[in-house]
Amino acid sequence: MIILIRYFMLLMLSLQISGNHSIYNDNLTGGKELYAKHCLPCHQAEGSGVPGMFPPLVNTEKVIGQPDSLIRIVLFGLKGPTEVAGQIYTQEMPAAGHLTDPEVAEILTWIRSSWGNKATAVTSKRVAEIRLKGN
Amino acid sequence: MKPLKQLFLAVCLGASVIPFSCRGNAPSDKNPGDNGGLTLPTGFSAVIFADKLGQGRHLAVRNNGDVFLALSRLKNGKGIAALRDKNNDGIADSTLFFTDSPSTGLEIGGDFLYFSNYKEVYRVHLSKNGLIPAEAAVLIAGGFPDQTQHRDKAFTLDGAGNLYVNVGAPSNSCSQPDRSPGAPGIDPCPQLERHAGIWKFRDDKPGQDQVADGHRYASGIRNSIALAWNQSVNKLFVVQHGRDQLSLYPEVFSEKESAELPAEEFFEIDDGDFFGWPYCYYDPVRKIKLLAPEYGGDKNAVGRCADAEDPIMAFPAHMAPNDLLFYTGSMFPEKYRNGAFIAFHGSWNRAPFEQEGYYVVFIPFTGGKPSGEVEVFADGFAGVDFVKSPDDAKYRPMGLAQGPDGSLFVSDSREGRIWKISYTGSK
Repeated sequence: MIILIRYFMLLMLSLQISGNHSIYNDNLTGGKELYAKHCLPCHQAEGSGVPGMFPPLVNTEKVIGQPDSLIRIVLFGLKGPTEVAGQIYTQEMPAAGHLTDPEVAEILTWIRSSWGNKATAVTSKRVAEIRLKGN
Repeated sequence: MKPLKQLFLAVCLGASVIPFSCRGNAPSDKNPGDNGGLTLPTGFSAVIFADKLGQGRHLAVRNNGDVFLALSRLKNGKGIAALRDKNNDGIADSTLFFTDSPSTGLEIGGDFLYFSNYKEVYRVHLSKNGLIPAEAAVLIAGGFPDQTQHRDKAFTLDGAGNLYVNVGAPSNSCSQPDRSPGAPGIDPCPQLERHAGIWKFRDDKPGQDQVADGHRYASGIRNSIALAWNQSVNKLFVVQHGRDQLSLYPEVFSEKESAELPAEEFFEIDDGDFFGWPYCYYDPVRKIKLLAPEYGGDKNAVGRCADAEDPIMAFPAHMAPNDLLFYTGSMFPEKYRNGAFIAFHGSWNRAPFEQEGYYVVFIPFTGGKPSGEVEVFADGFAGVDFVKSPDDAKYRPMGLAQGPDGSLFVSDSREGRIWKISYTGSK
């Protein structure tokens, strides 16, 4: 009986693996693709973040306000408590300075115009200037 | 069957230390009643004991039935809710708040309520009839490092005069920098000196300090806010939050492997045990502790992990075990006696795949060892079939506590709901 149950479970396992799907199974391009690779694991597919751990990116001044501080966060990371939508987040965000200027610009432009966000594009020229200036 | 249950079955099958089928209850077995939105095995029912208390964490029930809920964000400026069911209808009708700091850990020990914030553990005397304490709280153990992740100093008591405090790791896997692509691990990891373990103290001695007075009881545990003393075998058990983000090493791990490989581990602890963090993670399919990529791991190398203690059971990755309870009541049927309930808060680190967890499981124990199949005991917290991101979940199971009548209380971290689960079937 146990062998039968195990055989059934193995079948389920193989079905599960073949049936598993990514939320993004369409062809990704530009900012959306870069977001999925570098940001989505923490900030999630719809920019909702994780309650108590990682802040949301939707309709918050830190994302849709003037872009310089947002560029700084991505290039140099963020330490210390930060408040978003009335919640305090303490976990450090790692710097993503390994991304190129155009990549940072594409990601931020995409974030600033997704999930209901409607903010101006970020240029790679501005990213380069801020990178040069340092944190 | 939902993919969620399939994953659970698959990983349980691979990891089981005993030949059990690891079957959750089929939906047809469930009680069709409302049960406050939960699905439960036949014979069980639930009521909403309290609701909208804030961001709930652990909870504790006094032997007079009063319930205390820790809050991770102050509500009315206070960090603990106290609730009383005065007319004994299963629903709280009196609620008061006290203490000035947010908290997670909470337990009753004798006539005292023990509670912790991010740096200290306190206890306060409970009067015979008062719902909230009239006396000032006394610091029992402190000097713990404040930290920006895994901050909760959750704890448990052994009933024999000792307090065991979890100090989580202040990082994912002790790399420099933390959580950055390809970053190497610091070797040896200096974080192990003050973090990533369980520290033991006296439960009645005021003003103890982690370094001066604490005994490092176990180490190499990344974070285990799910910890409980098993009275039937007089031992400490914890369930670890396993590491995140193997995908930071894309030359070794695929996104799917990152989502599924590093198991949540269930540990039985003896004094002095070392469980492997940050050097190791546990592969639940191959049932082996492997070297982490920060320390040269390539998905196959074992290295120093051969010396780390193995889990007694492994669960699917990232499900976030947030509380553990060994059932000692007599209300539930015999198979539940001395068995383990675990609240899985639910994952975030499976993105872009569907998230997992968001339920309470039960594992029967005999002689202090798992002795039967894992079952999903209480489900339906999320309120949706498909959790893409944790924010989709309406409720998330967080804390567990046993009532004096043997009922099981479960708290939620999103809205501050508390369910009281009772057995009403025939035995």
